[in-house]
Amino acid sequence: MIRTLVTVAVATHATSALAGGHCHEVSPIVGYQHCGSFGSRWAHGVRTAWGMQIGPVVERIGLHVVSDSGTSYSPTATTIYHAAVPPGSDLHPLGYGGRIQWGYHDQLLSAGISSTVVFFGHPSVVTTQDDGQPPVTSHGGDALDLAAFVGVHDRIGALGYGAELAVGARFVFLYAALPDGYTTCAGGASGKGCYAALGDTRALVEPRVFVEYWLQRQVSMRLTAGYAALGDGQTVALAVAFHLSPYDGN
Amino acid sequence: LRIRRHAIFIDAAGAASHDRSVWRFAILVAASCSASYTPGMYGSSTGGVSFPCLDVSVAGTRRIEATGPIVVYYLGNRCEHSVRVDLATPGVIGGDDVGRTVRMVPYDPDRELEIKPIDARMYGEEWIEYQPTEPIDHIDWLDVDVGGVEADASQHPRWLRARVVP
Repeated sequence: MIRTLVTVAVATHATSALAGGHCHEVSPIVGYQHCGSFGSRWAHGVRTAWGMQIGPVVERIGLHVVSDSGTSYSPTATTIYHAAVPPGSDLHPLGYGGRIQWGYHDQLLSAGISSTVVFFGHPSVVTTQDDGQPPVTSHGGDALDLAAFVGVHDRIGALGYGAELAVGARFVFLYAALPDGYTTCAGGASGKGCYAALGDTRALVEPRVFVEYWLQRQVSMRLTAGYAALGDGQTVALAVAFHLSPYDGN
Repeated sequence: LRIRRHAIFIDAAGAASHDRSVWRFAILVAASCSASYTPGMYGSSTGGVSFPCLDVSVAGTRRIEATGPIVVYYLGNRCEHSVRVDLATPGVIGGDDVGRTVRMVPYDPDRELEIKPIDARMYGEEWIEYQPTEPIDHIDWLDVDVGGVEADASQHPRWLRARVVP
């Protein structure tokens, strides 16, 4: 997805470069110019109201799946594993990671997509097997939020503020280790898809509010707080935002 | 619900790919961000005029492709929002050093001159040729009324004189 967006951005710039690169200007004077026109050196033409932001995020994740079972294999045996979070564990760990957001921003409205990835170090997951192998413990997991958002924003001088509503999906995974020699693929084969995990996928509806400080006419620093009304979690994100339209077209 | 561990590896691989793409894009975007206007960056013998948002100064010159003298308008927007710029209506008087004067009109064969907005913290220049409305042997200076250049500011005459230098 991000690769596609980058390609679009590069293509946009390349098109602009080509459009301006094949003309040799003969005069700076109005009425004598071949390439430019009145205002072309200072007035804005078609607004490019796209922007992106990227930065660190801290997210408090709610864990909904605390146990799971499945079949595990070694080269010589097939058995059932049971992976579970021990009772009393913290089921709302803090995750640390990053967020990238890309979208359209005009003077008032914004819309786009955001991707957030965080990693967390607890709780533990203890895995036992029916064949009597010793229990194995692993720690933490990761979460991925993919969402589309719409929002409104305004600005007073260099200070901006606004609110967004992000709607999408949250994917949460807890690592579950298996005893040495065991995988979830037949014959104990290793590779993609041959590992156990606790995880779930849930809808995400997250209202967000933010304040931002414009460091430069096309760059701002933004602090965002979100509460996942659906999706279970709270988020604080800090981001540097790049705006192709100065001050979002104001 | 059973989710295989490979999903985590997909995430990790995707994240690495994202990292490279994101940094490339960030550099691209940063490179596209032009420098902002700083008051005083245009040195001008005319001193210039400051409006609530716009700084305007002028210079006079000649170019071989133009028959008349040229006014170079230097524009800088100090504000953090765009403002409308009117370079279509400034009154211009041309004169010589022995006291003859004549009204000048802009050369605009394609009727391009109109009010246009200048972005927040943007700056730039505009070259406009002026031609006398009646014959005059020589023009040594141009008086330019820039009082209406910031279209939404209070309008009253503010004259700047620019020597016409070849």
